[in-house]
Amino acid sequence: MLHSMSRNQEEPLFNRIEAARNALGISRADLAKLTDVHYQTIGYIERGEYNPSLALALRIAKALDLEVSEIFSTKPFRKEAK
Amino acid sequence: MMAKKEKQFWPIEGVTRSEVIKSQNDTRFNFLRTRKSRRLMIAGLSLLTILVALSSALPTKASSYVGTLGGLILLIGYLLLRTSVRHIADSPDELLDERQIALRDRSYLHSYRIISSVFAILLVALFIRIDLSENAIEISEWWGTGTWFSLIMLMAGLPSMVVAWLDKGEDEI
Repeated sequence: MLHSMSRNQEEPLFNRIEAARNALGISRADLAKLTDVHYQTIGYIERGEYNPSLALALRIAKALDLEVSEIFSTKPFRKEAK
Repeated sequence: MMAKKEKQFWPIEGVTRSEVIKSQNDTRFNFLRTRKSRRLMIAGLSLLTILVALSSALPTKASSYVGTLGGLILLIGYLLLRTSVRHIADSPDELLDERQIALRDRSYLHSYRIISSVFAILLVALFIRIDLSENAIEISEWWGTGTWFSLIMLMAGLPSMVVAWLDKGEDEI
């Protein structure tokens, strides 16, 4: 049901917040604090169940020290080799 | 983040700023925030609302017991449900993030639709009573204090019920 809340239902938004977050060693709660949202919201975004506004996407990118395009994409990200 | 320290948001079942902030960070009541708990509370509260609404139709003594006890449980259930959804339905924009605001707004849209359907049914019932009073079900037989209480509780609690329905359980995030 919550999918219907997305700003753009037709085009899914992929992200790699979790990978970027893990690389920095920060938790969802830490990222939530840095971006001024509830930690549950970070969870929804990571799972692709909520598409953030541009302002929030920029805040997330800044907190993760990356460009927005490095975190969000309309196409799936390639899995990084371990 | 503005507002006075203990500003009360909404006139009837309002919350204060500190209540919302506390609720947003609360972990003590996480057992109420699972999908299963939320669905159970919604089902229980819906059934109880109907039961209390129709309690006046029961024989006098039973009516008073069901109405009073049911009303009390309804009130407690409603307070627990608000805790379960972290007061999202009652909070102003400045205390929520953008996803929560979208969720709250969506819940009011659904609540309006549900409430208007309930009132439409009640109005039709009244219309039948007025126009066909000879043969219709007599509305005064079941319309009483419990019915008023249920309607008030429905109006107060429905947005939180819808939030609880739309939002995933926190155990799934």
